[in-house]
Amino acid sequence: MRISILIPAHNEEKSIRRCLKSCLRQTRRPDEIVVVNDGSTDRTAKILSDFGERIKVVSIPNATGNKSFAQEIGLSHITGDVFICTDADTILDRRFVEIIEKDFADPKTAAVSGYVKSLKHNWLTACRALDYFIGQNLYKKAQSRLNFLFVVPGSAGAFRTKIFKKYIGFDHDTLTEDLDFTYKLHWHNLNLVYNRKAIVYTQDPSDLKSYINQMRRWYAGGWQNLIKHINIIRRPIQALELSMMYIEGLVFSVLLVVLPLISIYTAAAFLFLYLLILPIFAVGAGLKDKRTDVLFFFPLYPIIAFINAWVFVEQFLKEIIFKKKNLVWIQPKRINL
Amino acid sequence: MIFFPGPSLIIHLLILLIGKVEDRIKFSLKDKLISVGFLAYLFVFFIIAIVFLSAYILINESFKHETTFTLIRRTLSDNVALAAVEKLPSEKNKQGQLCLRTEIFTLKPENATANDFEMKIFNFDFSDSSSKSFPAKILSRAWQLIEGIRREKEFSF
Repeated sequence: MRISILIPAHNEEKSIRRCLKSCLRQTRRPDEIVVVNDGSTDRTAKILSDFGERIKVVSIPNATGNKSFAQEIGLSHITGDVFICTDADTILDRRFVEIIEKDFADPKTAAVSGYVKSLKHNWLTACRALDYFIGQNLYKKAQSRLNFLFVVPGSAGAFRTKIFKKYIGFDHDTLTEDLDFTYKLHWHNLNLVYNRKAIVYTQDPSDLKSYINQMRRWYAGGWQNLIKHINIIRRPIQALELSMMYIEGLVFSVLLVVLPLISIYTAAAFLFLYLLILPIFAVGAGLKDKRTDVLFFFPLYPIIAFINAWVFVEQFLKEIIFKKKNLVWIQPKRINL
Repeated sequence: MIFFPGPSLIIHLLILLIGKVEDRIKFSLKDKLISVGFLAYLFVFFIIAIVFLSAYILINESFKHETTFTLIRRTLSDNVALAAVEKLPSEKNKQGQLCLRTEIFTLKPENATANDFEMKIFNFDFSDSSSKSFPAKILSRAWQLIEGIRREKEFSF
């Protein structure tokens, strides 16, 4: 089985070197690494040239403005039976390719979702690490039991190339291409595997402005994909999962935003609920993901929850109520890896 | 995903728990339980919605109550307000109403302080008033007068 790695890159001078090194130092070496240099104006091209023949570089002179365009161009250069989608700000664990290969040994497997860990930086990345821990060890694990994974993350996904080209492809009409892929997989009843041993380490926003921009993109993309793929609701489990994600998400978000305005005591009670449950997950993240910073910073998580709630409602109003579709991609501020 | 301490947290925990049971006894509970689980989820969700809606209505109602009492409390001191409220059912005498009106309306802002004014009302015997709505109207008017005195604004009777 030939395995390729596809990496779109736009102005990634701070992180791409380490990303590529992690791809090359795998216990099972990938057969091909395709990097799409999407109109970078920094030193990305120079860094890519340092890797010589070990990687295949596809250059686009002008930036496409959306990751999925770069991925589409890159896919046409892929020769592997399986390709791994990752980001230039992500580091693959040494055994990532080896683990993915085992999952694809089953011919029914169409896609594999890996496990994302946030790289340590400050309180914001600690809160994100907690978010990932809860999302992947509770929600996603349960979704895997029900054969309805909510998303194959863009930084840790792998696909069987033939199936991807035949059933999935790139539409460029949403801001979250990974959610688009996942819903298409569900629509075609294709087999999706969640493997928590296939780990990647990703760089998450370390300042509030970048964080809010990223959340805007994720939630706008979420609402766009829900509308686009509403027909995937064919079984109770799909209705259950999607209503938990979107309807419950919306109701609780509105509550979180509005409660402090109605009654400060009820808002405090809601906050208390958070602080009652969060320590359990913080200890879990500290032990399993070896993130001691999460233990220090988890009391700040309600701030993140409030921002998330605010942005979720904001994007609901924009995308669903006022139908102002946003397809503008804002790249988060990078730090040196 | 947004993490909330809501029904989805409990449901996902239950799914994992059921999964563990399935692994142990090698019997598929999943399919039967999903439909039941979905109905249970809707039920829990609506209960939460109803609880929050009720809480909102209650908070709103108590806020309205609060406003009425706050008005009375702001009008007069606690003792005067209590005295006025206690006297409410027994007001009967129209002459008493006129007496109080005279007492209040003859008090000119330039000649009296807010405290003087409050004392006038406090010492007045409400038991002789006749109209049920009279004390409330008088208290409301009194509040305007006191506020007027406090702000040292001109006003006419």
